[in-house]
Amino acid sequence: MTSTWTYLMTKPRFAFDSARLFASRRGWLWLALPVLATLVWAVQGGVQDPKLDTTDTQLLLKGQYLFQFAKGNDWPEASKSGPFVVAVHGKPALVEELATKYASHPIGSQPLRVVTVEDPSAVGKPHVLYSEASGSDLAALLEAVKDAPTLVVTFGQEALVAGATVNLFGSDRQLRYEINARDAEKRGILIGNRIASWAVQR
Amino acid sequence: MVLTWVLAFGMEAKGQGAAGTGDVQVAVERAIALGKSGQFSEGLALLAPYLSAPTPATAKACYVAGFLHKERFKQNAANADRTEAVSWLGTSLELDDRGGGRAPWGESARQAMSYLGGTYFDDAVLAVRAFEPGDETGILELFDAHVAVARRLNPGLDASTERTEFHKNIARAYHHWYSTTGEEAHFEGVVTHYERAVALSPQDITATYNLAVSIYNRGVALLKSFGVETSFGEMIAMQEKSAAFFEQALPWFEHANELQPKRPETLRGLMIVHHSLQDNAASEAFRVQLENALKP
Repeated sequence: MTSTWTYLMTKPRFAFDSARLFASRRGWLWLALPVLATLVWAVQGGVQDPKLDTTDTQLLLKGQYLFQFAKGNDWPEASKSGPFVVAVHGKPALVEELATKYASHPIGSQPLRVVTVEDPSAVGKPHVLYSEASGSDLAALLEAVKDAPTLVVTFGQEALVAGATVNLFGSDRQLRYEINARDAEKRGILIGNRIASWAVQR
Repeated sequence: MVLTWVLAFGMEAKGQGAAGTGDVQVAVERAIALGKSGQFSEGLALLAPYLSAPTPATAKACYVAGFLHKERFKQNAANADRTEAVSWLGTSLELDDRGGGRAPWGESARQAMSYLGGTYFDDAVLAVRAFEPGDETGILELFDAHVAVARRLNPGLDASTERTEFHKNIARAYHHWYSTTGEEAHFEGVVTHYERAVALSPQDITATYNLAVSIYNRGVALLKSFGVETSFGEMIAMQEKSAAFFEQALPWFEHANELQPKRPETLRGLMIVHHSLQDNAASEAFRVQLENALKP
């Protein structure tokens, strides 16, 4: 340090200029802190802004509701053999949600099978039929499962449609449901207590 | 490091900017000489008798003490030395101000202060980069120390933008932790620091939007946790809880939209949050706005 000091004493001008440069750098720092902060952290690895989760939350809820309806209600004895079929009309994303998350879990002793339905004539007699159709499309579906032990679940109807057992709808910022108890009874489906108790009356 | 030392004292070694008279001046000159040879502690010991009751006559002694502490801090990175350095340099400048602010070492003292303030800032940034939950108090203390020094040099300084950036980056760090741990406390850290950023800078769209997204995502995460083991009662409770997060997020999305209308990210957020709140009509309205905003 001493030898450097001695050397620098012979170069005071140089030392002075270096220090001014240093001072200037700090002076710039005060003025440019917002920019500096952004730049410093922009290159910071691994820590980023949160990304909006664009998962369809209505789909998650519908999938969970259908699974709960399958688990929580009781079907006639004649429907308790073979796979437990949940048919979804015109909603491939919901089929995928159900198949991915729930299809590995049996309903009672029945393996859960999730199927897509496009043509009402090919609906068969699923345990649960879900559709967001309205008008003539819905009417055709309802006609196809008329009198079958099928829990028919619609979505977003103004009121329960004749022939539909459950209607899911948005209310008070949540997805809720109403039940047509008479339709369930006609189809021989016993609505579970918990499901019945959380149903909304409109 | 040596350059700074040389500059600070080299041209004053023959008595420019006299520290006073008699013993004080001798002590100061000897302390400078000791400092030049790296004997900072010895220099400080020499000055100690003159620092107990600083007066304008001992201003230079305070300055030299601050400088010696600063040099020792550079050598050993001891925070106590940095604190002492800032304190004595500040005192020296205050005393000099009382005397008219004409000391030839004044600029050097301000440069030393500026350097020390910069180290507080740098340390705060490094602490954010190596963040662990609970570090925020220490980080903000470093930032406050940085601001205190900056304000000594520039009393009119408004540090709210910088503080906002710190809160945003602490929030980001908490988000990083929360993504890994899923712990509620880490989520609270995200929200708390984005809220503080928005409180400091209400026009900051990044903080506003990120706050909205963080809260919204928390609600989505609840619904994503649905599974075969979820009971009916749990499902109902989780839906209510998630809806509460969506409702909490909505005003922040709306505020972000007020700050910067037609911003696609915000319009997408509004479309999605309304969808999650089962308001499909409002969601559709924002979908149309988003489509228009994305048109070339």
